[in-house]
Amino acid sequence: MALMPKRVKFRKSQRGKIRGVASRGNRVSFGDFGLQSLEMGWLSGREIEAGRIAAARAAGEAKVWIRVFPHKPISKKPLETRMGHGKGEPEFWAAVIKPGTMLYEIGGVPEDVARTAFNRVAHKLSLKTRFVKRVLGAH
Amino acid sequence: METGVLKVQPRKVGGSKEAGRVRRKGGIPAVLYGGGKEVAHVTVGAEEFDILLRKHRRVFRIEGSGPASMAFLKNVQHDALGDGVVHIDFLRIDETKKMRVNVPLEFKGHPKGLGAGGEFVHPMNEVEVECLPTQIPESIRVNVDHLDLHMSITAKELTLPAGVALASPPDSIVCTVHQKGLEPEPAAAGAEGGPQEPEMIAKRPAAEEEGEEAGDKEKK
Repeated sequence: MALMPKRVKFRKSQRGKIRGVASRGNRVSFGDFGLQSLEMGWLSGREIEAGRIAAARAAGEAKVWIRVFPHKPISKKPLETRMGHGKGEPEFWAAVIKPGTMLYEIGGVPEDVARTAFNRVAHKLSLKTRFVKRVLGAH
Repeated sequence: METGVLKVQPRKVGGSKEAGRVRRKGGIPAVLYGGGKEVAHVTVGAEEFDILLRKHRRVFRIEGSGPASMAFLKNVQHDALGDGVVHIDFLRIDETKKMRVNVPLEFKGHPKGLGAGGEFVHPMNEVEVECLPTQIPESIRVNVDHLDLHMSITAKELTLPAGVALASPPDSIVCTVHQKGLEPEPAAAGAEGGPQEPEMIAKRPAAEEEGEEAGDKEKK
């Protein structure tokens, strides 16, 4: 079951541009370890959910936090359709990710377990990521 | 905790442009304040500071900016990706006076309750303690082996080193093991195949939409 908003104001959105690096949501705030994005792009609700399942299976006793949510509707025209005749219908929902965004966090497990879990998660995602630890004084 | 010795150069020109120049030359702009003295803007060697930071030093002897003074590492600003240090705040301290400081908690062991479907949660990552600057512990170890389901450890149960007193509320929960699955799953909706439509917040009435479309056609 992919993530998506419950209520929205508009059914379709423009593509937008992803500029700069994440200045918010870029620290390990809840758990002990995090998976940080190193690239910009869209992360679909299905990918996010696949990552969550992978983390839960790899570290069953751990508490996993998902730090991103797919707020953006991505539309697509049907196959073999001529151009024009309006914007396509929403196909999936995506989270807009900037480099530095913390995607997942994990807590309550040792570092080696967290690393294994996030390695599995990283294979489910379409963005380059890295494993990070909590920094003293970070909120 | 051992004291780190840090040599600094005084920085006379302030501002972001000058700070940028300092960073490009391999330094880190820093500020030294407190202790009833004037604020001093200084430059710290990036490599030198990085080595001390890796050794978890938090109390420094600052040399090079007037008479040598003891300082506590108040704040370290990292860049957006969290790699490089952008700016450092040092607070002048008196070695003989006790101070309040946050010390990280280090959880050791495997809680018993995890085997019974529990989940280990620690609302606190750091604990506030009061001690002399030279006695600040690097971390406080918390043994969680004995934690069964629905059991928790409070701040007053922590084992603190000699000379260190608890400053956090004594009854605040440090860590607990609660039943897994009590929290609702993230708002998952939508069928596996295609996306389900979310509810529209303010859908315009159909009559209004039709009216607009008719108006557009007339214009064409």
